[in-house]
Amino acid sequence: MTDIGKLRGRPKTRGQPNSLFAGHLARSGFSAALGISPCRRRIAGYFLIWAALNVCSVACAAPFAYITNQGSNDVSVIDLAQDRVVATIPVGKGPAGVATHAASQRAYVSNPDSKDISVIDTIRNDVVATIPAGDGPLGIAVSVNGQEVYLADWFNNVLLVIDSAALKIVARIPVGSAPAGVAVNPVSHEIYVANRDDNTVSAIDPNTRKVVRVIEVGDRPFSISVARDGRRLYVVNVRSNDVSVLDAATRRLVGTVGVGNTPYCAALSIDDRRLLVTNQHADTLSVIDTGSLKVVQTIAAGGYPEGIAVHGERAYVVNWMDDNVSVIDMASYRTHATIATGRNSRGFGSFIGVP
Amino acid sequence: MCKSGVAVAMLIAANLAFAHGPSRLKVTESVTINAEPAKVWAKVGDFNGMPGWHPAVAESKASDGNNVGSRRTLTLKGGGEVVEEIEELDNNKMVLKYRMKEGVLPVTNYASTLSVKAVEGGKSLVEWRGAFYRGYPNNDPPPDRNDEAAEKAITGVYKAGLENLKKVVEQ
Repeated sequence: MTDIGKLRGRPKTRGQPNSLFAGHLARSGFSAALGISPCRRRIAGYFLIWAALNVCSVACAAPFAYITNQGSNDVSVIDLAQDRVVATIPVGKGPAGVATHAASQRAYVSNPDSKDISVIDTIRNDVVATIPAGDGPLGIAVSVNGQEVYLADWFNNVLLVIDSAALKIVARIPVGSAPAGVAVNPVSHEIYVANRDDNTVSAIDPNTRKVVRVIEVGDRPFSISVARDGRRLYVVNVRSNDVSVLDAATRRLVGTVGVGNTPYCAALSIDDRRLLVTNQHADTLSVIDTGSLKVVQTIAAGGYPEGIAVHGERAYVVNWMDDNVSVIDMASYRTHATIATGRNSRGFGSFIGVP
Repeated sequence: MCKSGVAVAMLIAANLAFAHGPSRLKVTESVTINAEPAKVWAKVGDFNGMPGWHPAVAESKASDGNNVGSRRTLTLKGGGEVVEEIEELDNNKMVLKYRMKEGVLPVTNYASTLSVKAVEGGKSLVEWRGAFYRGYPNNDPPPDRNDEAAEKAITGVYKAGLENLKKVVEQ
């Protein structure tokens, strides 16, 4: 039994310099006018690229979003400083789930149609490994230290634990039926899995790799968001059109908040005071005050909003039907920009990573 | 014996070629109609009025008119029934959203949006969008319930409907 990741060749991503480009730069009228030799011109070309990259490493130091495009089998990399796609990375088939880990400079993508995960180096924006993973890899999350990747296998009702250095599966933890969303508590490090067809959430101890509690939630839970302070979890229930609010310490239900039609994902504001929920069939976002547990506003969104992440004062919403990402200002709730992505974009998971 | 062996092998090959996981699919079709939006919406926004413009629908029975939650049972000319329920109907925006509850189409979790927009020259743009999963929920679907079969069926319904809607309204 060897689920060893097979290393892939480096696919070329858009926007990367190559020697052809250097040559082209070198042949430009600019260097010709200086009257330097062809060899020196080429060196000058490389120098120009090096200089340009240095400028970018300062100007582009903002985080990047990794948006899975299920219909075009790739990931759109959005530079959040520029609100534009700076690279498109081919991955496996039907990419859906995504998880980033800033310190280890990686993004992990689940590909349910090719039954594997793609490991992306977020500096090079390349796939550095592909790991076969079960029969229906979907929800994905990374441990706080980046050493383990947790992956829900929708068809086999297990949570796979993948060693991120060895690139292989090291444990299979039985969970409920049709596990979808996975999340990690940033404080306690506990792992949570939404069991869609059981209407439960499994809480797992990352050290013993055992389920420590099964918690009843709403009808068809799909995704889980954990507060940044680690005290609460918010479980989005697709069928009952609501959010189950759980206390992380007691692992008990503390409230249920009704939202829009067919909600899928949620994200918290930086201060944990607001939860934004994507309502797929309503094409809206519900804003929940996490203190009063009431919907305080409903915002118009794109077509079939699904994945959502908050960075600073902006929310990034992935619109599956429209093949784009809406950038929403967290103060005014106005759409600040709309960024075209690949086909059938999902962005299911914490898709924002730091370079 | 040998023939059936070949057939089985071809079926397996077809399955390998077309096998997909349960990814959500979408179809969008549209048509420009030479008529005012209100005139087009009078047809499209009538939840129980589909037999009046869709060539494949023989009969429709709605439980609660145009109200949210109203269920229509469509009897198809080719045989079979489809039951659909209103999720949203907005006469001002001219948008109808409905969801299939059960039916003969080779799809699951099927939801649809029909909208009418004004375009230049007093014309109307009708857009029909659907989101659905294939009929077979597990890995390795049979050819008649795979992604392609699902997309083909919904595309066929939309194209035939919009084409005839244009004819009926422009008459």
